[in-house]
Amino acid sequence: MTDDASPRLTLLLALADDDLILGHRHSEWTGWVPHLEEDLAFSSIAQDEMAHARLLYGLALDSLGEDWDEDRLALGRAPDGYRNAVLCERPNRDWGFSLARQFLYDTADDERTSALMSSSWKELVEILALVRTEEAYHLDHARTWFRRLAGGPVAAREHLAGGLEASLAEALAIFEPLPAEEELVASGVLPVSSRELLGAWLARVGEELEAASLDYVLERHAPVGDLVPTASGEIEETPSFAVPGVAREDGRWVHRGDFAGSGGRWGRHSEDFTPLWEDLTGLYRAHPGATW
Amino acid sequence: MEIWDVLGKRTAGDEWSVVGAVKAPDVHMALLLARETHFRHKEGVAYAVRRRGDAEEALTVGEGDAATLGGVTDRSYRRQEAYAGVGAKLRRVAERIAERGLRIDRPRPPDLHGGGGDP
Repeated sequence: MTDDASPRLTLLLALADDDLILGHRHSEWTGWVPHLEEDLAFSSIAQDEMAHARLLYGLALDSLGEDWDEDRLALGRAPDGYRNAVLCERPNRDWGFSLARQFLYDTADDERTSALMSSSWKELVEILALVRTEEAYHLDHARTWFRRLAGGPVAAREHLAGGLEASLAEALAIFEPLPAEEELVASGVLPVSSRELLGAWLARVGEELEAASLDYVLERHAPVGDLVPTASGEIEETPSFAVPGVAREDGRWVHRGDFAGSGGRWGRHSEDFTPLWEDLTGLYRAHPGATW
Repeated sequence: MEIWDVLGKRTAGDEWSVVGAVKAPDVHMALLLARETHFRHKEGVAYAVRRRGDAEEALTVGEGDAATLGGVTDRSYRRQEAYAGVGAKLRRVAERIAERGLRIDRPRPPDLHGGGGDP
């Protein structure tokens, strides 16, 4: 279904699958969060993400045949049919990792949905207007926890920094260019390219990390190995085998090189996706078409 | 960690009334948790927190638009309707499979709280 999907459908699936898969990972914290109030809060955020995915799947159905419905779209695709960023599928390591991931993801989601509010696709804009009212809460939650953990005690700060370090490289790939992105940009459906969105997001995250004196996390993701001189002293332009990363240039953090953890937008996932998919879709696959 | 009373207004004309409490390290986190735990399902139009023991007027009112407090997306799937009428559903299923000459013969799972079911 998704190999020859329209550019609009690939955009919708990227947005919706991110929310569905990350919502599923968030939901795995239910009953395990360090304190009761936060357990409820994080579970609610998980449900919100799934509700947002559902709205987007509903719009996607307009471009699919009658044999598709929300459940089939959410739960009835093969693993390589999902277009979520790899970051979203990674297992929860500890609370610090999950909060770091939520901070990076929700900041990215805010950046892209803000841009999409001026999309030429009015039905998408209407849905995102609803989604963004709830996402504002998620961002508030993420930033509140970010500031609290960054402010100590030491162990909490270390858990947050560890989570940021583990997830930053794959967070960059949230902005991996979409298939047929040029067409989406040209038609105004995607008003800002993924690369421009990445630049804005990275500058924003860089400011937050610098304010919390956590920018050493970014420094550890500096690109390495680029522009290796040959024996003759020339610089080979291509191919580049540089390890991708981020660098501080002209007062702001920028992305350099390719993407680590890329492939999600093309249906290529990590080793962590298959067990998640089996868990998420098990009931649907065992009883396709079942209703409550 | 401190205890914060959570207060709410069901309608705009109501007085503040205590609806619960949360544990939180500061007022910002208390507001965040109060909203997430007590106002996720359209329970009211305004919310506030007050550190337990503080003067009655020492309220900190949560920000936000009454129209969006409690969410704006369809949350009907969160209701536990799937568990309503389970007995009736079971009877209907039993009748339908009986029409096919089948019956549910798997024993009930053990009741861990005592009474009923096979061990």
